[in-house]
Amino acid sequence: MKKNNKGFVLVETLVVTVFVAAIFSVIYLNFYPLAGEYERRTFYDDIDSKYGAYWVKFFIQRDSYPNISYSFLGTNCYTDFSCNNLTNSNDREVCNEMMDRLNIERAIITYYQLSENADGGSNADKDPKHAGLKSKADSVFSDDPALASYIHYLPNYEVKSLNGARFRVIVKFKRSGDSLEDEEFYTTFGTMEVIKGAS
Amino acid sequence: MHLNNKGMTAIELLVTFVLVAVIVVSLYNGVVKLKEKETISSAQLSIDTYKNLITKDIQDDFIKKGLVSADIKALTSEEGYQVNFLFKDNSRKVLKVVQQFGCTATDAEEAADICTKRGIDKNASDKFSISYGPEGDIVEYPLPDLGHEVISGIDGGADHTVYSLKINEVNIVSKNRVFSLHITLTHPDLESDYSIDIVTPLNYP
Repeated sequence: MKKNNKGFVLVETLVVTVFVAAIFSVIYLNFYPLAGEYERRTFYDDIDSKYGAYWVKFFIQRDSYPNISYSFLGTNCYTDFSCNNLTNSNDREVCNEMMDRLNIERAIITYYQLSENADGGSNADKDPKHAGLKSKADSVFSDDPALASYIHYLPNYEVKSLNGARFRVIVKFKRSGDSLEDEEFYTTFGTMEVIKGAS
Repeated sequence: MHLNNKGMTAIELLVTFVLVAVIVVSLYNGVVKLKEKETISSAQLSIDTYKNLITKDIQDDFIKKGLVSADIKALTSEEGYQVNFLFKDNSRKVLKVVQQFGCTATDAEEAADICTKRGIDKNASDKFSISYGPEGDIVEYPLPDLGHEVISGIDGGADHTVYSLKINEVNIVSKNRVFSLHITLTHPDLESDYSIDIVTPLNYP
């Protein structure tokens, strides 16, 4: 039997090399952003943010915080939480002290479900599934892209809360990195459901 | 059948060796960097796990039982703090944070300069721990060992150990009806410090 021992010509080798290189480039370009995304998500729902969000929810659920309703949130589907809205002065003082020590930069109250089918407004009063912050996040938080990014990261919460929660609180923390060389700040986020208010 | 038994020429072998050498050298730095990154990630994971464990155990008590008061005092037998917690169900728990720096000096002259001046015994070991639990049944949460160095005893003293991971700062405050605990952990190979942050309202219905 006569064997074919001519091997590949240069063009064949080049074509295969370019083809393999192209495949690796596509894989690299698709996977590289995932590493950054993973690192960013380490600042979402960490244990300190979860417990911090719990204490904000604690004050919202207290009797001294105004009863929240769908119309309370308005067409933007959210309202900023402020300790100063608490009617009890003791609650206000403790709440402000907690906000300060927890390094809370901002807390918002929104609907429990963050549905993409948001059209808010009057429909929100009728059907909470139509009320959502996700599709509006980029426009209403154009001054706070980190918060918008966290809202996009959160699921829609299509399944209703087992505890009957209609609202949720989203909390942004400004934390000190305590870098060994110089002090750095970074933000973390946490969310909790809020069991309060009329439908 | 006619076999090709000519073998490779010297130039072919040389080119192959050069190519392999170039590939190995170019990959070496990348592999070393990845190895360092893996070590750092592993250390960060250990600290995160440690922090999460302590935070969860303490915060769960604060949320489920409700904290009535926190009595903070300095430890007498060693450096650090003890906090006595009283909960709404009248149960009590104790938190103990030991923060005792050892001497990193390797000879008597250096020890006099960097340890004795700061009131640290020249043969003292690092001692860092956090303990929490009911009075009389406190559980110690040992800091993860992320590297340590055993230093020979100075002036005939005993060998002592200094750890890479240290409790750098302890800040316990109980005022304005809010209790907060801030413990900073530091490691020279990690870019930033890690902190255990626990905040709760005091005596709140």
